[in-house]
Amino acid sequence: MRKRKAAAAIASLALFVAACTGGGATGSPAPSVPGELGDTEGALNLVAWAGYVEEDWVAPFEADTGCQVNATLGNTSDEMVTLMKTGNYDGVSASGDASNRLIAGGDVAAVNLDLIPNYANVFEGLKNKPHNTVNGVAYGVPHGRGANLLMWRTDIVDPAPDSWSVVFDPDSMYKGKVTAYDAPIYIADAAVYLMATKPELNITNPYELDDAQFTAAVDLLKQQRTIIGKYWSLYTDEIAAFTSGDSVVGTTWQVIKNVLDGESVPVEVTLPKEGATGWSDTWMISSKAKNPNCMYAWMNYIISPAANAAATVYFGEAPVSQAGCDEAEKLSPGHCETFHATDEDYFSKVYFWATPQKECGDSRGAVCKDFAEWNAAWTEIKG
Amino acid sequence: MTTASATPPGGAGLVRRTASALYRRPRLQLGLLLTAPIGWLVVAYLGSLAILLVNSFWRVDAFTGAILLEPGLHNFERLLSGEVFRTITIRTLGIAAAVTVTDALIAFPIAYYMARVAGPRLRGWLVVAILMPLWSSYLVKVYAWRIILQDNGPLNGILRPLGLEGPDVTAGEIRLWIVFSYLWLPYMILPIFAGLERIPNSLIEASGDLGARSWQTFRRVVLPLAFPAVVAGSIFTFSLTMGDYIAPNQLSSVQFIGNVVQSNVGIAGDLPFAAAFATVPVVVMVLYLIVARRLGAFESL
Amino acid sequence: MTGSRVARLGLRTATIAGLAFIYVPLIIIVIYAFSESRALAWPIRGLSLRWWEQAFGDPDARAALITSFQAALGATGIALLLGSLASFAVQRYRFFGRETISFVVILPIALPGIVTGMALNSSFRTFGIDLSLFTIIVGHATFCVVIVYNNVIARLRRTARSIEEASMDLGADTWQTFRYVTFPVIRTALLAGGLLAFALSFDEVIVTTFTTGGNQTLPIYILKLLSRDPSPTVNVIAVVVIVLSAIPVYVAQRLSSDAGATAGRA
Repeated sequence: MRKRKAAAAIASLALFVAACTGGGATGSPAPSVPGELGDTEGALNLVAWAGYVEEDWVAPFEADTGCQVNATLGNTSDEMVTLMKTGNYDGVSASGDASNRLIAGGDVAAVNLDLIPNYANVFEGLKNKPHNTVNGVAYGVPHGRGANLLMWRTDIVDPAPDSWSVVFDPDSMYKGKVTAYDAPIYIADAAVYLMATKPELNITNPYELDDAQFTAAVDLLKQQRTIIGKYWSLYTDEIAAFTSGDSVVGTTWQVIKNVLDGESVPVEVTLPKEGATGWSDTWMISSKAKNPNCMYAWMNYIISPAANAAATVYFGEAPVSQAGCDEAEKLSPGHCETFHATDEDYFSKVYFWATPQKECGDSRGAVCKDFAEWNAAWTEIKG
Repeated sequence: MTTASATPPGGAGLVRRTASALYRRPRLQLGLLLTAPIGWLVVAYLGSLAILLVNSFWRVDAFTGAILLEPGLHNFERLLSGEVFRTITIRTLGIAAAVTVTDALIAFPIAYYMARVAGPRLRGWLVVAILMPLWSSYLVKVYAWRIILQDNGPLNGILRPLGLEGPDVTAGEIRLWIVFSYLWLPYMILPIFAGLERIPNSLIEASGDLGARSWQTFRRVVLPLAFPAVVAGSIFTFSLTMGDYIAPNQLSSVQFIGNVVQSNVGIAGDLPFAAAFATVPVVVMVLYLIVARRLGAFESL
Repeated sequence: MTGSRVARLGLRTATIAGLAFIYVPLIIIVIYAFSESRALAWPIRGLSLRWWEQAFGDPDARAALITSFQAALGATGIALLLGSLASFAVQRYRFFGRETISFVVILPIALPGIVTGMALNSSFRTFGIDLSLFTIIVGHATFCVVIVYNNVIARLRRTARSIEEASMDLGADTWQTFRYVTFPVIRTALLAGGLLAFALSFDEVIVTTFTTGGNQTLPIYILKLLSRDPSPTVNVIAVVVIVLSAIPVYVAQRLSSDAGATAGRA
């Protein structure tokens, strides 16, 4: 009996130790930034948004550098953070609501911009942004920028909407066929709508919401829940939903509209009058990258004019440089104008995805809701 | 117990000597038999579960996603105080129960036909027919149902001319009830079939001899004997429904326990909270298994 | 049992209805494998074999199929071994913890896949074991053991110990007894259990997502395909798997029904 008890005690102790040492890693110190590049390694593992790593512009890269590209799709920023934490990838196209978390968690390394010649041509409006530069240290190169749009089935939704009210109105005609993006960051979209409809809340930044503002946004979304048919996080799910008619109106990415056009599904998109959330994604290199030279080669390549033009025309977002715009004109005339590539004023009204933090960044102090609270609220909203 | 001690013709090889030695030492034999399975299950599996449970007492740094080793009950407090978690739990268990009852009702006549009415050749074919769908991918079946139930899908194609509507995306619970009942039906049919097959003909005849009509025999002899098999099948339908998150994600916007667990462990990186919520289905299932064992289900799996 | 004609008719109808319920969605899956358009819309616009070309030409699909096969084989093998060992132990001996074994053995399959997956994943990471095909096999074997265990123990319960004793009285040692007497009795139970375990492992997705490193089993591959580029290629793969599986299922069923037909009915 005594032997058994001792064995059990030792076992529990071992388990306890195991549980303590296991689990998530605390941020590891960032590796030293390379001074110069070596030979490419032959492989490159990326975490990317759908439509960012496509054969059309990947094939020339592979042929040129010998780096065989292996892309894993992240459906939401949160997924991308989780994937990057495994250390199995070399790089990620991170939106602002992932990039700061990755930087703080030590999952991505600072970049030596001198090793990326094409960076010099990038628009000033995309450089030194809070989501890709921390304390003056750069952590990546931009892929492009764009806004979340409102999409609707032209044969079902009439008249053509110009406001987000069509997805927030509890008595909406399209009740049960409205869709929304399935991620906590969507709370910011509700905040953007409240900026226009409830100015008394004084929301200036949809990612810096104090208690009153946050509660208002969450209540709006709980109300929206009653008219939602199905949320989407896989872009292919929204494509299927609009094709089958399960969804007829809701928030979307341009690339989804492009695919639906290809399938001859009658849809149209617009940037509603209240403004919208958006994203400017940064290619970042993992702090545990096994193929760093390939990653640097990719970062330089994806912002080169031809590749950037191909990628941003395919997805439907603004290129990162004037040369990129010129190339995009050849692929799709009017592209840069449509996506306001050089219009910094326009982008000042698009609220790029950012990581909510306790520190509001203004006179209110540290009273804003942080990411954990956004996440918890989202579960509550979906019910 | 006497052992055969005469050496067989051809001399005693190492295998034979080991076998004989083991035969004389039953406890050693037992120990050897059990080491591997017990070692595996207890150490690897139960140990892992225990580690997971310990994880539910930690918390996570909201910004970096790193796990902080500060023990506390905050995850459980959050679970108990949040109304949404109660809603999700009740919904999950409710649908699991509904699916189990539905499958039992559908499976029983089929299993009965297969076990006691169909001829031996037909029975063989029927068993193959029931086993085959287990080999088609669960994912593909869920996607097939998504198409069947979609707004311009075949179900509406049949129902709309009749003036009816199939369950659309907002009727998530109904959709899931239908699809889960579909998915796990073979898991319910097989144990009931095996259980009914085991009932000796002589008992039925004896019941008839004692004057019972066929319905009475069914109610008083067959049903009680088959009940443990029904419970055995219900273990699968209940647990598979309760733990699933892929189908709810695909077919609806309702959340199951599994969805919250998955979105916290896979996506939002809050493993401790996911572990805490995961203890709910674990506790439910353990209780279910205890009851099922008492009802004799373990002999009928 | 004969029963009334009405009862038998009702049962036959119920069985046909049940089989229809089971097979109509599968038929739809097959139809879509031949659909011409990419979108999984209804009604089908045209028929074509293009997805078959694509599926057979896709090296990832072949690799995933092979990985699934390897994983299922490994898991089934381990499950056969551990399941039989445990069932012999429980059936033949009395010891402390005997009752709990059947309980513990069923836990991996009764608890939600996400729990088993999370638990195994954190254990592997704690002990520094890299996720690979090995960890996939370990994960699958853990819930496959119960299938074999239950089948074998049910058969052992129906087998009288006396035939083994008789065999030894006739001069066979324990190894010969096992080979010539015990094993043939449990053989079909092992076959049925192994087949079901193989099927479960082959189609498992949730535990696998937690225990796989870069390896893609077929369900993982299908999941990736559906999230990236859903097209009838997935349906083609499903149809191929169903067709391939018909043979072993039928063979196993014939073998086990021949042996099992004598048990229990009299």
